[in-house]
Amino acid sequence: MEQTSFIRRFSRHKLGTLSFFILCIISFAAIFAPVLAPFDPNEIVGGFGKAPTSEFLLGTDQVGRDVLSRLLYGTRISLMVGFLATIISSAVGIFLGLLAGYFGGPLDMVIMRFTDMVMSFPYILLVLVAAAIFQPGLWTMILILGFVDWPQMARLVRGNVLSIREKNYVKASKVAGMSHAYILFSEILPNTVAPILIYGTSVVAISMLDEAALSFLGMGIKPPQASLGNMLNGAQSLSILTSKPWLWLPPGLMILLLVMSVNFIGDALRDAFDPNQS
Amino acid sequence: MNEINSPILAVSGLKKYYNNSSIRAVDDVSFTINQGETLGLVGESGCGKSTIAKLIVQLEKPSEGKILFHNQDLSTLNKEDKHKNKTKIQMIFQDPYSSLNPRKTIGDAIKDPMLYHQICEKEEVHKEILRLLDLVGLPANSMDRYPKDFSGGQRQRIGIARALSLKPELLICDEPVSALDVSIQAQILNLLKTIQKELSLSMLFIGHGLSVVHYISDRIAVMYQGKIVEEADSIALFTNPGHDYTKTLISSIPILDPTLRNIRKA
Repeated sequence: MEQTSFIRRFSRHKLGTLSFFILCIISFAAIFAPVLAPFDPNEIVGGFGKAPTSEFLLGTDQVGRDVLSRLLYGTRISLMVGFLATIISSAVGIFLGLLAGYFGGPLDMVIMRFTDMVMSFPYILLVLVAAAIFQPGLWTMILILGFVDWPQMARLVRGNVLSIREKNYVKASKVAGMSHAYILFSEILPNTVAPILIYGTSVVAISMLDEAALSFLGMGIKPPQASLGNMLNGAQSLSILTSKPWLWLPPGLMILLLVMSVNFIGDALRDAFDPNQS
Repeated sequence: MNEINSPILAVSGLKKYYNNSSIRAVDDVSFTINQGETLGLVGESGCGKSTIAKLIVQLEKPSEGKILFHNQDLSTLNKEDKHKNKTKIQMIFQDPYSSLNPRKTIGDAIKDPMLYHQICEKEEVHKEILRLLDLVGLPANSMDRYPKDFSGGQRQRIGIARALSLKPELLICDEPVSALDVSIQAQILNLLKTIQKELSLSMLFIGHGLSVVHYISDRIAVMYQGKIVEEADSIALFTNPGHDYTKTLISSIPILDPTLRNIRKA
């Protein structure tokens, strides 16, 4: 009964529903990239920078690799970075936010000052330093992004916990002598799921953009492995921008599509979770 | 009433100050509740009566004073005894809307504490919940439903069932009917009264209107600005109020019959 009304409220958001299907199709294409891609993404299969033909649907890049195949594999990387980085940062943020909000006092003080510190750090610099120290690559980037995106999540969760812990049902649990773990994970956490999911979608979008930016700067996914960011990297010169749009348009549009879809889904989730909307 | 019984709860010299003693929410309060007795605690908003409830159920720590439950100071118990004693004092809250977790079915809300404290076996928990729901006058199918499906009065019944599930000896009712419609108030009061008799519970009933408190209590303590200004038998308090504040409270009870109203004026 709860479920059906949730889906009904979600589907009332037209753009969100459309975005959901678009994201499903893109994810499907990305997951099955090895099956769907016409060529090996890292293999030189055609001429240098050839325009789209019936053989190479989106043309070839400067070293003669198939753009469509690279786009599929690159999307795969972007989605992976987006979702895994979000899972890591959410786990850290939720955990610290719950502890800070629930126990308060000195623990809250320590956690929140640490959070402020991480937040105030120019994170591009942090990421660049981390990328220089560790081997740059997919997992390094996922971990780095995961560990810089958590402060906002921690603050969001803490704020919610602060209001929920004053609710009578939490007090009733305390009076009944329930354990802290029970109160945190069974009474409080389920009531913060909505804001966490909504904020989580925006973190997914931010992480995908960060991946693109870092790879564009050459500090993210290492070539020849394809990612949406380093596909754009290959298109830095003005002559390519004007004369060979098939090199940068597909990855650029894909980033746009992914980020917009995820954001609209976040919007739709917000509407669906808010009972006052219906 | 039963003077012979030893008190189940004895509060002495209880103080709760906030903001470095600038706010004296509870200021040197002492009272006792005997076994099977209902003590009414009445006073205006902000006089400290809810703070007393929170202190007794240990949601807050007293600044000074002692709370003895069966002659034992609960705050000095070791962890294990504390855990055992936790179930014996339960509370019913004023606002029935925030007293139930919106993401939990009624069955789960009642079941979890019972299993956690091993009050009944896993196999019998279903039967026990049905018994409790029946006791507070709710249909059996309430179990699988969420709080949003229930009205304020029904939620208060659920709150009562949850409190009773732990088989408490002392029930703290913190203005349990003041958020409800007048017609529902009577139902809940009668339910509490019946349950109190059936289970021979001891009860602390907090309210801000004398008429409600008078209906359910054996004895009444009147609180004013953090202190208990008068304590008397429920009937004696009405017939012979001692403190001026008690007189004000009594005179503030609306009398519908115009003849009686005129008698009081005279």
